[in-house]
Amino acid sequence: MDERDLVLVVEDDEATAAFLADNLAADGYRVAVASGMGEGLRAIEVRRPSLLVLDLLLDDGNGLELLDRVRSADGLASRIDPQLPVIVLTGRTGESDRVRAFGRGADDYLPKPFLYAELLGRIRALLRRAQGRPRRGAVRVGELAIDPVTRGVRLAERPVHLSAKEFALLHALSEEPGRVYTKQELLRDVWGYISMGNTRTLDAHACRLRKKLRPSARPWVVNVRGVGYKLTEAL
Amino acid sequence: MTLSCVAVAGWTLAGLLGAWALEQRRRLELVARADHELRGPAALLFLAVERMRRDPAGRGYAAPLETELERLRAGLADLAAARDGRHRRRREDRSELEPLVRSSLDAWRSALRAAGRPVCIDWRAGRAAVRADRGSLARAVGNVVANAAEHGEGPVELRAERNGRAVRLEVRNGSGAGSDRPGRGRGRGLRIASDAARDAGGSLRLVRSNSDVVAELELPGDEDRGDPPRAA
Repeated sequence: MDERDLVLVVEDDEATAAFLADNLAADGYRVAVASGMGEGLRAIEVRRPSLLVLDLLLDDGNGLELLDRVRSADGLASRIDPQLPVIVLTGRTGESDRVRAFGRGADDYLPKPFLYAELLGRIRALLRRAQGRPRRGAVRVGELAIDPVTRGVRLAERPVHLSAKEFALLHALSEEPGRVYTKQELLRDVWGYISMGNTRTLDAHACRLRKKLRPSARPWVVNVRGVGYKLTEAL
Repeated sequence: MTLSCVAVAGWTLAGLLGAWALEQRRRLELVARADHELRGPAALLFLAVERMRRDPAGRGYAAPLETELERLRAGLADLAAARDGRHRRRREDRSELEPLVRSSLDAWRSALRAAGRPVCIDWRAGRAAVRADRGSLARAVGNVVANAAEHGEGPVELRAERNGRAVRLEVRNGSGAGSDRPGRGRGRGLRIASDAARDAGGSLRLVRSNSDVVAELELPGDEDRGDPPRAA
């Protein structure tokens, strides 16, 4: 499998998109191009890019609407990663335009015309920062494989059937195997509780999850007494 | 009677001011649209030149285009800032001077050759670098070269030498009929070059001898502080 980062360029001007793609490919990136909002959204879902370069004025809509769709995705039910790094490229140079784009979730903003070297530098910096973020794609921890797109879990290649909350709990823990998640974090991220409520709900789900993963000799979900839970790291 | 006259005058003035404000707004909107329409094609040109630079056959053409595009970018930034009644924000960068000057001349070389006008470069300033806004620098050098190419006659001679910490560029050409009418003051190109030279921390002087016009562009040299200068 090709490990190079995939950059998706959403730009309605064909020539600009082609030259941008050519230059990025020459600099070692895989590149996909979409000419409009609908095509861009489909490409984000199907191609799962590492970074999005987004023009604002598109034939079939505004790039900011596409950005809204990305940022409002849940990362589980849809295939769209809500934390996808996004650089906005646009002919709009006003301060209010910049503020609006950042407010809607852009990670960077570069007015046209730009030096390609500057764009490349910004892409590299964003990808570097994004390296540490939890991946929203399929996760594998040892024999345990979790796919948020199909909501499927397999242990040693055998399917494990989980309820929605059990899956969400396992997926949350798998974002950083080995890290202890506090009960408060898990109740907030998985159940949406704002304040620390009754932790028995969490404990009950964690207990059922442990049982369902029991065919393996290894304890996958570990209770760290008085703190929370963690998923053990791959051996 | 007097009160009603004052009221009429007041309303008339208010109406005129309103109409003037609307007209100003309409003009600014037209400028904003023109600015926006220029940015897309300019972005395409930047990317095309970058692509050209990667191709060994196109590399020679890319350098002069890049310098001219830098002027275009600075001009667009000026336009956008002027709309808001401001000046463009200058960004200091360390640039090596010789490639910038040579690429500015290269942009005119074909036209000069076709006109039978030779170009001579006498570079005695070594690897001189300047810390200045790249747009201002490209504009100052570009306008001086363009002035000699467009309005002069005979050969275009460029000489570069150090003057203390500064770097002095002399662009000499036969005066011809136009020569930006040095006897009647500088034309727009040289006025822009003069402002740009000042922005870059330098100065521009135009000297006319009997048959020649010499543009003397002096720029503050930047001593090497470890960071490699960018080839312009």
